[in-house]
Amino acid sequence: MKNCFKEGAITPDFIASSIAHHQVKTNIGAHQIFLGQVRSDIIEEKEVVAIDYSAHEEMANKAFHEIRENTFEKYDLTCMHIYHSKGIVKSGEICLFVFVSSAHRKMVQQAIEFVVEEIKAKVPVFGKELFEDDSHVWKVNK
Amino acid sequence: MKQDITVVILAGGQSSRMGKDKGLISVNGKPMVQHLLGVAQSIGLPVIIIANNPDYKQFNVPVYEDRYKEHGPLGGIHSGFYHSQTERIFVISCDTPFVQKELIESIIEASEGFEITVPRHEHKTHPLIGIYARSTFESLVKSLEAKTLKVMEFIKPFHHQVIDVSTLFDEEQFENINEPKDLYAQVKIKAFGMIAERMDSTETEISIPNKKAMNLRKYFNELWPFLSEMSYSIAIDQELREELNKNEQPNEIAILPPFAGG
Repeated sequence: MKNCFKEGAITPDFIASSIAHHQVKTNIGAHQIFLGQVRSDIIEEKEVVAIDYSAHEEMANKAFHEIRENTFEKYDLTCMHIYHSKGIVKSGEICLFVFVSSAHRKMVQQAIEFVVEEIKAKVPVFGKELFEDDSHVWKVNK
Repeated sequence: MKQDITVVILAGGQSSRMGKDKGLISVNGKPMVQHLLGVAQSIGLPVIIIANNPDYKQFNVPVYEDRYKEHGPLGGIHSGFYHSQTERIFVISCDTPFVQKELIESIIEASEGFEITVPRHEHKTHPLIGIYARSTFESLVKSLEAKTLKVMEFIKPFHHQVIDVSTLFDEEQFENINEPKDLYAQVKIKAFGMIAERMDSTETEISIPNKKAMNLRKYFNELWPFLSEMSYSIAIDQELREELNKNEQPNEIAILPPFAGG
C-alpha cells in the first residue's frame, strides 16, 4: 500500500518537481492540480496559526487507495497522485496535493472534484487547529 | 411426575482458568448460575447448588459442598442425591448457562421408565444436562470409591437413554463457557483526535461481550458517556461498521472523530 502521507507541509518545490516528472509522458494533454492550504481562521477571536494533522494512517492509506481505484474506474486518466500532510502545517502552507492527468481537460476537471470530495468525506484524517496561545480546537470537515 | 425431581446445579469445581469460580462469571449481566436458577424456578422445581465456595449462598437457595471433593461431576451428582429427598434429580452443570426451560421439560418428559436420560445434540452427548434416578446411587458411590470418574462410562450399565434433540433445540443451549475468551473479545481500542484527547490515551485494551452480536455504538456510549454527545464513526479491523458479530475477535476497533482531511 502506497503511503500518501508526508511529514509537515508539502513544499512548492515538491509540487514543481512532480510537474516536471510528467514532461516525459507526452500522451498527457491536461493536468489538474488541487492544493489544500491551511487557512488562518478566526475562531472566537483567536487566529489559527497551524494545523496538527493526525490519522489512522493504515486505514487512511487504504481509503486513499480505494479512492484512487474508483477514480480510475470512473474517469479516463493517465495518472494520479495524492499527498497529504501529517504533523504540523503552518497557516499559508500546503497540506493536500492532488494531481490528476489525462489526454483531455474535461476528464481531469471532473476527476479532481470527485477525488477531493471523496478525500474530505472518507479518509480518517484529523486536524487540531492551533492558536498562538497554545490552545486548540478540533477541525471538522463541512 | 415433576413432583419427584430436584434440580441440582453443579458448581463444585474450582476453575483457576476463569480466575474465579466458573458459575459466578457474568454472562449477559448476571452470573451463569443465576441463569440456570431462573430456568429451574420457572419450571417450579426445587433447586440446590453443589459448590465448595460459600459465595454461592448469595442466591438464596440451599448450597451444599461435595462429599467427595476433587472427584469431578460424579462427586457433585453424589452430593446432589445426598442432599435431596426426591426420587430423581435433574443435573445441570453451571457452565452451560444457555439451557432453557423447554429443553429441561422435554428431557423430563422423555425420561419415564429410564434410570438416566441425557440429551444428544448432533454428535455430542451432554451427560451433565440430564435426569438421574436414585437407583443409581449405590453404584455411584462405588465409582467414586474406585475413582472411575468418567460420567459417560458411569451411565452405560444403567437402563438409560440418550435422546436426540438436534432438530428441537439450537446448539446454543449446549454451549459450554469455560474461559473468559469464550465470553469476550479482547480488543485493542484505538482512539484519535478529540476522542483520544478526551480518553487521555490513543490505545487501550478492553473486553467486549461477544456471545451475541453487539452494537458497538451503544456499548461505547455507555462505557464512555462523552461519546454519546458527539459525532464519531467506528471501524472494526479498519472497516467502517458498528455491529460486532457473534463470537467475532477483531484485532482492533478504531473510534474515529469527524474527518478533517484536506
